[in-house]
Amino acid sequence: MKTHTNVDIYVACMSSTHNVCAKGFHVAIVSGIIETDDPVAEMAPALALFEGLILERFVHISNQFEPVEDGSKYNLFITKSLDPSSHFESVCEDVKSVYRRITGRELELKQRATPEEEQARMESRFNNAKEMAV
Amino acid sequence: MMAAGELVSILVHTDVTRYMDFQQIGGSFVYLKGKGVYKAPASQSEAVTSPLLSFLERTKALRLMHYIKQADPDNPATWDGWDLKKMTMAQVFEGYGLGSGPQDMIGHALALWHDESYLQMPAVETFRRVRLYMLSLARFGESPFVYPMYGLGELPQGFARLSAIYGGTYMLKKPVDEILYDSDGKVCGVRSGTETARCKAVVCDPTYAMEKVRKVHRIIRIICLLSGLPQFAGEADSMQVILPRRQVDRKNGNNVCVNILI
Repeated sequence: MKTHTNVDIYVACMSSTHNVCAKGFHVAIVSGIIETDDPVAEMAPALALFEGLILERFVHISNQFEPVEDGSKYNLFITKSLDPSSHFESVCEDVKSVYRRITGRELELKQRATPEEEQARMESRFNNAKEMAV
Repeated sequence: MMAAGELVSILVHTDVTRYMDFQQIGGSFVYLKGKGVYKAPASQSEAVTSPLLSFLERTKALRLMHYIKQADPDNPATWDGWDLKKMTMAQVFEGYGLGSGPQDMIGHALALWHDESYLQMPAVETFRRVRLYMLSLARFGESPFVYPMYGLGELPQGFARLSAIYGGTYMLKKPVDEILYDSDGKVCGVRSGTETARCKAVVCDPTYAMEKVRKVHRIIRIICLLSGLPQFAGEADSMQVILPRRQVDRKNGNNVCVNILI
């Protein structure tokens, strides 16, 4: 088994203010990369933080995949599986990577048209179409 | 997610924020071996009074944070004589005389690196991440993280609604039985049962194309329903916790050293 010591364990803990559970309860998600044959024991340090507070727990084990090619050969663009981190910085990197692989350009967040400009553009299009129909 | 992070800027840019609301995540805490759980410094003044670092470490860490603040990753003129693109983060820590405790606080709790490889990377990457953390913190104060109301399922929903406005079509509960290729080996469609959708390109997650992906890790996720929060949370009602593996002595679960980020 490959070892990946020094990879962090993540815990995200939400409450009823996030509308994910009833008042008085909390939901915690513990996640990490598995290094041994006893994954639940590996998470013990994180679970220990909530000792005596855990009413119910659900263990989910999944594989993390990544594409072997950039996909341009087949026009088949594959994302990476989500990593165990509880923030989304790595996901954004992946989204930008897919965009780059498809278009050959970097994803640029340019200023988009405001709803008013969009509306004006659509109306002028509609009017043109009407004139042409007449 | 980080309040000033990439995802938030994508959400704002794409207007997905029209369909979603966010709530801040409580506060920040750090747990160090033999020291217990402490609030991670959310400001300069908190850093000065934090019991997390020893007196000497505190001054050194503060000096480094100050340096990171003024060193703009895109402007070498502000780097004060150091070449952050050539220097590794390990060298920077060494230069400031910081040990593993403050290193983990800065590298894992602030820069959010997953492992120790950042130590050997150019320092400028870590600087960028720490600055993002500080910027996010500046938006809300107590913690740099926000979480979508009603949970993460709102994210795909928000994008789905936006996509529908721009003419996107969604088909739910439709299995993908096969990805079809033409004679050149390019993707030409997707088959579901007896129906086929034609296309020029497919974007999918790895589970749809198992022959073109490799397994990198196995991941465990444990979802716990809690009756309350541990005492260290104080007034915070929610949190994000990061436990650097190097700090976790897995042979002895009772004596763990954990960095907690809330």
